[in-house]
Amino acid sequence: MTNPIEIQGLDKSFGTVKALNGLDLTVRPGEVAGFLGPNGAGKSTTIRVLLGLLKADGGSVKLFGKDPWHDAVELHKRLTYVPGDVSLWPNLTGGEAIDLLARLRGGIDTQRKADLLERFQLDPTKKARTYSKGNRQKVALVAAFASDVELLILDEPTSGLDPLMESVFTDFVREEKAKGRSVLLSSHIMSEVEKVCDTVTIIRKGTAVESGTLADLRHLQRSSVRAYVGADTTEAAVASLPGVHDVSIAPSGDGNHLRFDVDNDHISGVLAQLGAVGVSGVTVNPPSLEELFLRHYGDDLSRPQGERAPAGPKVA
Amino acid sequence: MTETRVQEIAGAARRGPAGVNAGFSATKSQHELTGLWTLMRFILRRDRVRLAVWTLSIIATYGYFVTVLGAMGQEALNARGEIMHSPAGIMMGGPGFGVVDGQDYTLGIAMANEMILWVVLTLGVMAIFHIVRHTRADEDTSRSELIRANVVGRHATAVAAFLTLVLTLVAIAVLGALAMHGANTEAMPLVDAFGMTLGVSAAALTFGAAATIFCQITEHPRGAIGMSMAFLGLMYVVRTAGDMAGAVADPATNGSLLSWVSPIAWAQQMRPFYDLIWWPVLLSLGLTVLFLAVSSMLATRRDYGLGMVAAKPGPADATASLRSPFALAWRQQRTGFWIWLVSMGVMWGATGTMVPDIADMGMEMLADNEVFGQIFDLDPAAGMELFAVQFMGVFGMFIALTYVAYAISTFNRLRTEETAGRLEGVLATPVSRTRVLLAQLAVTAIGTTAIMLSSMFLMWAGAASAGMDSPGLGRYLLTGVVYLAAIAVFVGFVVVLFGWAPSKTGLGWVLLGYGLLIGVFGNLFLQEAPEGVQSFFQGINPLYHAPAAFGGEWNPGGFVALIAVAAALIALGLAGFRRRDVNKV
Repeated sequence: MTNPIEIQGLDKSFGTVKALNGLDLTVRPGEVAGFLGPNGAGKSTTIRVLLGLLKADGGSVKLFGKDPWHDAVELHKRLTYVPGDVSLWPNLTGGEAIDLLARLRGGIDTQRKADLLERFQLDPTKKARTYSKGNRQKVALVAAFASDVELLILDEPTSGLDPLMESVFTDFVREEKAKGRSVLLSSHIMSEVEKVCDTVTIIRKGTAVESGTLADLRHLQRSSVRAYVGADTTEAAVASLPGVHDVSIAPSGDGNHLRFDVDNDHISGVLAQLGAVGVSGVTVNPPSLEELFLRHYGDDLSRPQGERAPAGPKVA
Repeated sequence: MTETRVQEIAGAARRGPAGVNAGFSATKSQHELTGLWTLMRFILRRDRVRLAVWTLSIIATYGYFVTVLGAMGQEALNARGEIMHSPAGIMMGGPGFGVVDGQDYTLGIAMANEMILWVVLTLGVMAIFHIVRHTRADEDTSRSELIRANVVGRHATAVAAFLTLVLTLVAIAVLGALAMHGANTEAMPLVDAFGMTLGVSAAALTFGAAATIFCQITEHPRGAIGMSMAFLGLMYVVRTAGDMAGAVADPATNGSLLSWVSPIAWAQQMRPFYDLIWWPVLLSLGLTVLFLAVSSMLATRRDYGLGMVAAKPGPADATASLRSPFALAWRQQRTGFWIWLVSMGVMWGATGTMVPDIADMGMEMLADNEVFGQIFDLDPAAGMELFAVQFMGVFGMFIALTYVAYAISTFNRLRTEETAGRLEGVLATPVSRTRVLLAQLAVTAIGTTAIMLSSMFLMWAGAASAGMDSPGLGRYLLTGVVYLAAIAVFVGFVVVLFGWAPSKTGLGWVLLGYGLLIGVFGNLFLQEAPEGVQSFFQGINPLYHAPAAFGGEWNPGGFVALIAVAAALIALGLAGFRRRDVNKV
């Protein structure tokens, strides 16, 4: 069975700005693939090449083994797309927009639509211009999940959704996966990708820098810990534990603010040790993608802003 | 709001009863206009090129026409004066102050009589675009949300937009008067020149003020521009009908009571270079103040981002027919289509009923005046019918240009869909680019054809009901079809822009402006030029190639050529669209 998405060495420039530079990306049948990267890394550009909206400058791009530029219409029967910034026809209601998009794709199951509207708590009778960003996003999601297709291409689909709706979204992605469908999920939120994805590709400056299963990328999964401790000797005690990185301590009031990162495998040992030395407050957060990048590519990211992300046309 | 109240109350308490009103207005207006100066500078900075181009081109136009008309010599000017007596002259010029048989048609009188209308219309369009751009368009794109959330008063953006418009129009009036005076100090006394440019700028300002009201009523910049333009068009029709009615009643009068309904007439009725009176400018300023008061009242009553009419819930499911790019394009256009169909039908139907009267008037002139006949290449013996045909050719050109505007704006909607990101969503479904473009083209073609043919039918019906049954209906419809072929070339040009230079689709309007300019003033511009140069500049205008309209030989070859050119342009544009990136910039 051919891979739904197979990209090798993809190049794309906008004028003098190189948006994609030898990008590789693969999505296998039945796989939910995360596509992670900071803003401006080239995620949306990649997706728009996959949809045949942009023409690749170089490299090989295959959707179900075919060229997305030449066979766009035929290929689009087999996929559905949710953009990160949904814009709708102001004078159509949400319900009308859903019907239109689904019918252009070949038809809509009205029961499925009703079910999705219910789950996403979307009022379909409102004109699109009165929807908030989150509700516009829901319209695109309902239209996408209502379609019977093999591949879902989702570009930052949860932007603007509240946490409750994010979890509804996650449920639907799992459902699609259970039906054997493939999903490309672009995001800049690590936790979202962690929840549903089998594999992750991390893209930066138009190049895939990490790629593999979530287990492969274990080394990227750390937590940031901040604790308020009494004695400053705690720093040494924590630093010597396995899986602990980047320890720092700063005096504050009667005690000290201790900050460090820890591999998730080792977190219980660290927490036990903290408990033993006495701690009066602790927060544990998953690291943001930005922090991961700072850690892995800090050398490049410390450069001035202008050099980091390609400017010019929207490439996010 | 509460804070303002508290301050008002506190102020009133401090100052006692006598201070209540003063305290109220001072506190309130300070709050409403906070940030005005910064916003004005921002607008001038953002639009520095746009405003400079408008200003300089209008000033240049003032100066250029003084030079060109001045170079013609008095005899040729007098011949022009004869034409300005005719219905077509009144329609395309003014009420004709100082245009009297046996008297010289002086340079100043010619400028006032022929230029005021066009400069008011041009500056009116500028004023409308300026106001909508800086108020409703910014609000619609949420750009001004950033500004309104800042320390900026509720009315500050609107007032800043309006004051920058006033500044521009004043600059145009002062510099335009100097330019005319400078081009010919003898024939163009400075006081009259300023009277003319001031009247023009003030009349244009009323249309900017009207736009502020329409911006309150509708939520969309497109709607605000459409309503404002319709108002401008209506005022043109009222002015024309009023002046026509006056001339039909008594050729010696200049305009009628109906003319005075239109701000365009207020500029013309100041009679510069003939018998300058200043007070009509107060009408323009008064109406401006009135319009501003109304829009300010509406503005305080509505919520940010919304129009006066709250959006009602709509259907939860789309109708069965909404399932194709064509259906979508039609759905986007249908309201505009019906408005155009009805308003154009009424306008041209009413015009049709006037044709016999106007033609009678022209016939009388034709009988008295040989020069007139020579210029229009008419033989008085040919009679009424031929004259009416000639006269309707002028109407036909206006109809065609109006529908060019409809066709361009309808097709360019596709580019709006693209920049708004909606085209991307459609193209991500199994719909080809060719199909999307052809769907938009089909809606454009069907809409333009329907409006054109219905207008032609109603114009014929109007004329027939007033007793003029020749030319017959077939000739009207044939004229419509011929013009449609020329319009198709305009559309083809826009399709090429869309395919190959999508960020330049606005150039379609430039071609339309060129068609208008060359159609109205082409003979004047080019009369001294060699034949080849004339036909070159005339030939750029697709309408020039439309085979003879209401009269003359039906020329199938020319018709087929227009259609072929249009088809080739469309194919070229389609090829471009199929190979370019879909993008928002």
